[in-house]
Amino acid sequence: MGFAFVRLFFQSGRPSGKELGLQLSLAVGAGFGILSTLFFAWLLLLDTNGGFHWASLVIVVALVGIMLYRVKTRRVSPDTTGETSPVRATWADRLLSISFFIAFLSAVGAFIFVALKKPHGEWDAWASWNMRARFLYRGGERWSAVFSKYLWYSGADYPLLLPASVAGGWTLAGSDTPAVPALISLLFTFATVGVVASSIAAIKGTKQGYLAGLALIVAPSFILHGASQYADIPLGFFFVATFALLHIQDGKEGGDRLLLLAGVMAGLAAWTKNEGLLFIIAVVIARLVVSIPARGLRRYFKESFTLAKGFAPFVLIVLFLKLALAEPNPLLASQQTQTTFEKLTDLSRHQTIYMAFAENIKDFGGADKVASTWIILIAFLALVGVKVARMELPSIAATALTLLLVVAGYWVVYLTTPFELGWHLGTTLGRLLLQLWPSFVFMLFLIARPLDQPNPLKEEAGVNPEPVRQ
Amino acid sequence: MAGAGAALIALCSLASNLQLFNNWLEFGFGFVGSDNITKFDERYKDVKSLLPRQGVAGFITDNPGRVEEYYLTQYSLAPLLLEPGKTHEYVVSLYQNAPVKERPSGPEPYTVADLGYGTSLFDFGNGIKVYRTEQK
Repeated sequence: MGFAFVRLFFQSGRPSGKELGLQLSLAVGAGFGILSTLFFAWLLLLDTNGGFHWASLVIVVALVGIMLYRVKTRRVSPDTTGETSPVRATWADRLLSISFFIAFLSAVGAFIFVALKKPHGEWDAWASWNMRARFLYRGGERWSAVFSKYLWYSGADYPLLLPASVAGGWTLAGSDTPAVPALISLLFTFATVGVVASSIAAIKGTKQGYLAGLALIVAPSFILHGASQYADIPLGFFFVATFALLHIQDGKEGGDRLLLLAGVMAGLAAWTKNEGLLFIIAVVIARLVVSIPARGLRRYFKESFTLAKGFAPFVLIVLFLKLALAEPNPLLASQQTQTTFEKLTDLSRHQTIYMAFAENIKDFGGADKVASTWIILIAFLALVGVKVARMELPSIAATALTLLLVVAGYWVVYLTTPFELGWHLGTTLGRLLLQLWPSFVFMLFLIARPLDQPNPLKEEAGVNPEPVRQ
Repeated sequence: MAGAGAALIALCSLASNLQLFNNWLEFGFGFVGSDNITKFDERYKDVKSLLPRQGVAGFITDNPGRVEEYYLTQYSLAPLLLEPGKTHEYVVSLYQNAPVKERPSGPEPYTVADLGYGTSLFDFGNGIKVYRTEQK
């Protein structure tokens, strides 16, 4: 279902291997986005999950039918180029690809063992996401009890992509087995690796793609948190999917279908967690700041309209959920003008937040990491060098600014939190950084010099550059 | 130099993920189903057949400081809602410190005691009891 949907946005005809990898990875998010939205709509309209099998079958058949129809149209050039001429793989290239697959399979193996030992996930998974899924699946005509005031602690106003995907999966499977949420988490975790690796491969070349994938999973906490069945990894998936599609679209002449799909991915971020709404605002503002000097206001509004067509349906569903169904969010409901102003201007709170960010960034990667994640990445960048193509600069700047704005948003949330600040930081900041981690790796590899391109600094020093292989 | 950068990422990622896999690898699958959440969930398997499927029930525990027990019980009994306290027709009580008795040998998985004033006590023998007070 997800793959058929994603294919609608790419050029018809046979995709390259890298583009196929990207489409398959994006299909995971699109598939669960469609499944969860359809399931929620079904419950809203019919107050039951009975008969949902047929609805999803109809949608799958329709999407696959459209996809197959488009395949029969004439072949056109793919949306991405990357390497345009065949490159003979050297032993180093083969070693790199083997390393990637061994690391990837090890990560999958670790994930599976974690999931077998903790089939219900960690705290937020069983206390919030999967618990709410049980209400949606088992609740029958009283499914809306999931928004009850008695569940205030579980985030009663949280969007429903994850719980509805789990409940939809249980409905299709015929039982509420823990295997379903574990499988959803596994797919999102490794589809995120797929998005990062395949998009960088499509943009910068296959070797860079492998390196980007390896860099993403160099942090064990990414895999372990994926297995915890929290919503942060799916959210990170939608963040990086949006950035990847925006970057590829910005590098194309003509057409805007990938922009529309990027809007869909951003909308699905909002359907996953509240931070997704902040993300959409940040994307729109960042592109405004960057686009006006680079491309002009008219083009910005045209692109933003297309982006909005993608995310608007999901934002409307989220707003409907928050305004018509759920209890008010405690972070917002508790705000009072004077208290909020006092918190915003309290320097000691700023200092506490800063120290927490610094500590979490320094220790990022988890206790199982082999070395400091940041030292590895900084050393990598120092060794390969930086190269940014002029035409990529606006997109990279927009990505960086978006991430900064999201962090600024998180900062304000912490400043104004009604909860004890130390507790709030301690229980959430590490996860928020994991949401941004795939996007950060993606951006890093946009600016890192691809392996096949010589370093001009080395040329100046009289060192022979690496040969460009034909 | 670029090759060194690539080797650095590849080696660190390989080491990290092989170590992660090694840390979690366990031969034999006896651990499957023995996690705390699954065991907790299974304790309520028989309790669910007595309770209404939906609505609101009360919840009391001999360890009110541990909210985890309340959240876990809510997870197990969903879609029945739970409210801490005794003001509902059904009240689920969890006594973690109670001695575990053998499952009753009769057809029902609990023993029943009449406490008077329209209240019955259903004891499942595993630390979980349900009070039911007839509503007038």
